[in-house]
Amino acid sequence: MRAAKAVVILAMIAVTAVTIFIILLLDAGRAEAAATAAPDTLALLQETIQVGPDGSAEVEVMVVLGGGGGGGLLLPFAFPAPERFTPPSGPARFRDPAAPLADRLGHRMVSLELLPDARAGDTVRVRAAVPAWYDMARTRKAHGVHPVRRELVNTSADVIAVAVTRVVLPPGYTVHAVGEVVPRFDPKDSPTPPYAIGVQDGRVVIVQRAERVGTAGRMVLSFEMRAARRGAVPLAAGLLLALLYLVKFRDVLQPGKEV
Amino acid sequence: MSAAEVRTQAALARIDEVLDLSRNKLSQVPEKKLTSGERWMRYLGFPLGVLVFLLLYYMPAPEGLTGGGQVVIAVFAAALVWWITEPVPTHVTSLMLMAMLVFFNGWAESDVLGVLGFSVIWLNVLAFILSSMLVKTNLAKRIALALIVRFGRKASWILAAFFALNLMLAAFIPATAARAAMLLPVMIVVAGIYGASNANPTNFGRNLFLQNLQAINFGSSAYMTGSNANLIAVAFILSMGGSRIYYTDWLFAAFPVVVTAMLISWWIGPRFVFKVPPEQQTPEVEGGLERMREKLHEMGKVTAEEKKAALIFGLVIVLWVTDKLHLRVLGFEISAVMAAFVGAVIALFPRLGLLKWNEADIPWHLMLFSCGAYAGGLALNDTGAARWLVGSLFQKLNIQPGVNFWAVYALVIAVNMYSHLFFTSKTMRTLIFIPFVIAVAQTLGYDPLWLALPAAFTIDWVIGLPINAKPNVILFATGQYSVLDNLKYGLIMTTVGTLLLIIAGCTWFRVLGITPGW
Repeated sequence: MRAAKAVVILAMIAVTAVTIFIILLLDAGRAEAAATAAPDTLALLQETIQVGPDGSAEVEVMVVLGGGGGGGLLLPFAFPAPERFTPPSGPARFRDPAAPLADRLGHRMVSLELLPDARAGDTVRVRAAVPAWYDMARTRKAHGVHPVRRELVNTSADVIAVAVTRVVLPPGYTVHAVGEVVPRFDPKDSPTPPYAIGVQDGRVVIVQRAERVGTAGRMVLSFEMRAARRGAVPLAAGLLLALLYLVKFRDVLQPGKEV
Repeated sequence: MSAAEVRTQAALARIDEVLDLSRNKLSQVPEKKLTSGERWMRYLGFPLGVLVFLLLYYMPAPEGLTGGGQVVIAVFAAALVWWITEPVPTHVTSLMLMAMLVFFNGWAESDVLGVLGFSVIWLNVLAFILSSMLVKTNLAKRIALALIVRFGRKASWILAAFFALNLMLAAFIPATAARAAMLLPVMIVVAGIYGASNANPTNFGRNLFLQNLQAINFGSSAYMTGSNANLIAVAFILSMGGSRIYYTDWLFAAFPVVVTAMLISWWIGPRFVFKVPPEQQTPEVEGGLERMREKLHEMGKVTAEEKKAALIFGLVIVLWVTDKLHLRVLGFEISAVMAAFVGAVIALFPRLGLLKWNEADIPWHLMLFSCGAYAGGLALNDTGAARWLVGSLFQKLNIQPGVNFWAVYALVIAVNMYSHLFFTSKTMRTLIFIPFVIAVAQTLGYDPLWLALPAAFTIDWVIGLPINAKPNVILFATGQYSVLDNLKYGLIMTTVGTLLLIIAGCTWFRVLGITPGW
């Protein structure tokens, strides 16, 4: 009888212990998941391309961290032959200051190391110069327009909560037309398109915004830019035509004379 | 032969003359007699259009608008001036517009040229083929005479009959162009009987054609299925606003507004807008209705050709009416334009059909006019210029939370109503406006239904200019009224419609729970 009681008590203790162990295990898993979920997201990634009159560009990639803690961070940096990198601002440094860029499966990225005190909401900026971002002379098409296509592929391991591409046009240039936009604009989702054209410090800037860009997700912005100043030929031709009409068609005012 | 017999013969000959549509071919552009004011408008219209273009073209690009969009706005504005003032024929303005879009890099050449292949242009061509068949076989004449004999004692009765007919047809045929094509030959014959033709436009003719234009367009507003644009608006209200609109919700709300608008138009048109003098209020021929009755009697029994024409046209109408059943019955859907294709092929088929190609009266100048209007409208949409214009307008209005709901309501209705003057497609206008209206409602904390559904009731009010809708283009081909006539009557009725919807919003829609209740 005593033995039976002892077995029951032992069994109860064992069940309680196992239950507590399982609860602790599950809780630990949740805590681990909570600790890893936030850093897996970049709250914001914004690339700014400031194009010069000669097609060179000053580029900046800015991220707002979604989680804290140290570790590696690979940022998409798809620009042709960037140089003159400035050390990253914020709680990060280049993994290899001599070679900030890394190549993964043909995608160019900046390899950063986040400092251990990095927190969610911290901003990290990487700047560089791209001497030949755009060939202004060779890309000039009819009507003096230059087609531009910017594609941002999320080559990082993190989900980008908000991705923004800003292209600041050369001084005196304007956006003539907007072509392909990915993700596609559907007026059923929003009355306004996911891109906007504005002016910043006297220069025209086109901005594209997308949300929840997962790993390998991409956003594309195609547009045409051209010199904002218009030629005088239409003005001269228009005024001349108007004048000629007034002279040639003055008999329209007489009854019986139709055009 | 006695004098009375001579008069009778002369009257019958006159009836034959007015009913002979081969004298008033739509494919021929008639010369118009102009008033002094119209002459000045023509003379100054061209330089004015050029100045408008140059002003908008050289203006510093507003924030948010692409350079291409600016070009399209400049070209479209100039074309609007030319379409209204008519310094050159409207179809020439369309050609100028299309050329300017390409030359100034507003829209791609391939896109501009592609407009000629649009279904709306095809529908126009095919509708005129079917219309020619009805005219050739005298079926149109018979229907028109029967209509006159039944309702033609007074001009106002015949106008009322057309309103009623349109209201009925709108319930079954959602394609407005199809309705216009159906009624066009009958309208032309009726106009002829009352002495109106493209060579001799009268106020009766203006009332007849412009009231039909209104009835075809805003008649669609009575029914949720009255036009495809209505259904798009309903889909927006569900997906963005979260409110499901049922057929009867729409019908109970919009039908009384439409009927009231039709009654007002019917009453003010011949009395105030285009005053119909007493001599135009009865059939023009001597002997009046009696002679018409004789003429109808003289036509005898319905001929085999008329029956065949009725059968072919009936088939097309059946296909138009049963469009929702096609998928279930046939496994595919026959669109309005393909239904017209079926009818036109049978009509033109040797031995089987009734029409030879040379007998088809297709006003090609009208197709070019349509192309220009559509190219301008689509370019406005494709370049984002239309969206920018609407967005800027709402931004300029600066509607902030706390503003009185009825002030916002009146503003939204007015903006939606009058905006139709600058659009060539209801669908496009719906796609741009309704989401903005829903966004405004959400920003202000209103139920989107309060603003979006009444705004949706304005979609089919496209009555201001010949470029604003497909039926407008088809009826404009008759040459019975000018662009300015259309604009004058259209603006009056747009104002009437705006006021009616505002009054309904404050009263009837509140009872129905569409706008906030008491």
